[in-house]
Amino acid sequence: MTEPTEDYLWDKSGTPDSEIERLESLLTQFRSESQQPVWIHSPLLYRVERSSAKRFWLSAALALAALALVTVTLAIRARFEWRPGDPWKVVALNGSPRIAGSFVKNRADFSVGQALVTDAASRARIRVASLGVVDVEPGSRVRLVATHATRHQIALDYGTISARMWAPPFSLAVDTPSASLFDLGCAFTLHVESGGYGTVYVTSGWVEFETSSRSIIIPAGAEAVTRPELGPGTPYFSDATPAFKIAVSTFDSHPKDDSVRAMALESVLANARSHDALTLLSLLNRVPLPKRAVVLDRLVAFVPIPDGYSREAVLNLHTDAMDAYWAALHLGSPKNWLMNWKDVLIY
Amino acid sequence: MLLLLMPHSAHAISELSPDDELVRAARAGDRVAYGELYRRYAPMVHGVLLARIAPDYVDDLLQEVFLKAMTQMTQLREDDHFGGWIAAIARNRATDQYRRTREMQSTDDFATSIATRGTPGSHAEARIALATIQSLPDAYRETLALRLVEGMTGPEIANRTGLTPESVRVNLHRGMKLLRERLGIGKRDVNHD
Repeated sequence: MTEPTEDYLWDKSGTPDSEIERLESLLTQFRSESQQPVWIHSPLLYRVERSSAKRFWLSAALALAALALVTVTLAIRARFEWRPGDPWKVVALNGSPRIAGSFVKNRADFSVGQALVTDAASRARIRVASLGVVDVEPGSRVRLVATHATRHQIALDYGTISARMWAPPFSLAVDTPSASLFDLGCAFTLHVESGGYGTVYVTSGWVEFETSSRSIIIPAGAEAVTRPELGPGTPYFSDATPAFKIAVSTFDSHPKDDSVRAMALESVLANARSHDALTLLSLLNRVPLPKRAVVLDRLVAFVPIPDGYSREAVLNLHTDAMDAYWAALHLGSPKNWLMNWKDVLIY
Repeated sequence: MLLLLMPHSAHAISELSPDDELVRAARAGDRVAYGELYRRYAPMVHGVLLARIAPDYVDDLLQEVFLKAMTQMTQLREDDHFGGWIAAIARNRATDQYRRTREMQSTDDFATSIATRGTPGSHAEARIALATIQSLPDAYRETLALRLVEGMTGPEIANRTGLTPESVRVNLHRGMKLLRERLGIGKRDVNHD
């Protein structure tokens, strides 16, 4: 009798092993019947297959989005939150600016209560917490009044600063002798004369000028003057005609002289372009009711009263009607400060 | 209308198509290609499942494994590793089934219960033999199930599971030796390790 070989277990060659053969025979009843199931060719499952693949990629995309969201959130927190009271950083751009009487050779801390002074030959850059920068031009004096987690305050006693902020509205306040300026997510240049007159030129976003009695908002491309005891004047676009600018200035400078104001207003209306609708809309707030109709007539010639609001509502300065009119000027919104991301690129 | 959604490469698939070509076609939605993969790999998957769970569950799980594999084809990174990939799915599915139902008796209990019931006939003997195979260590029981139940040769097992032929050979001989001992059949001393 031939001895079984191990080859049979391996590849069924050689002499069969009777015990293995018997096991094979016994266990055959459990063998698979490899007929294709009908579902393989079911068109319905085509969708299942596709949606599963789609789900995979969707899940991957969602995971990435979640990761990005967490990263952005942490970055935003790191950017917009400041440890209250921490000193800011100052860099000397030209010459030797001074902080609290000491010359800034290269870099220096700028703490609450200190003043940064530049002479005619020096410039400095202040990093406003982690939100932006303020460049201090020659012949200026800036004080750091307060720095909190999300709100910061400086004072420009005289001179010129150029600020670029990419931050939620009201993150930075700048006190001047005649009004306080609030950034609404913006870039601006502010000049304060020794007599307390101030002028702001807005290059991006919006700025608010405010005193206890009145406030104005100024969009990119526009400027406004603030005067001692009178506070902020009427905003106007920088590209307005000289005649228009003089008329606005005259109107703002003589609040108690009705005849001068009447002539100035007449000149404002006569020299207004459609782009000056900003000034006309602002003037509605500053003229007495009998004069508003004239201003509104001129304004309507450039920008119609928004649908859904009456002439009377505008003349009576109803808040919703005025808001709608501001929106109709298509100047953007201070709420859209995030769109001014380009301001951050200067860092 | 639905037919229009089906891939058009079916005519290019044949029994001679290499596995990686079938995998690529199946991933693109070619059901004929997937059917061919099923034909080639169903016995192996069946054996992998049968090595772990009671026969009554195997056919249903076999379908589940192939259905799951079909819906996850995009996750198979290497086209020529379909066998190892679907075997892993089968092992995981068998483990899940066991944990979930707890209906499969422990293999020793299973074999004992069959034996003590004294059920006459080859079916009872077959259940005992299968239960004994299931009682072996993982590497042995799977290889023996493929060889003795599914009728695959050692080279076929290696080819389908992705194991090396050497591993399969060792598993077969060691497993068979252990199986003989547990079944009390033959005392032949073989040593191919």
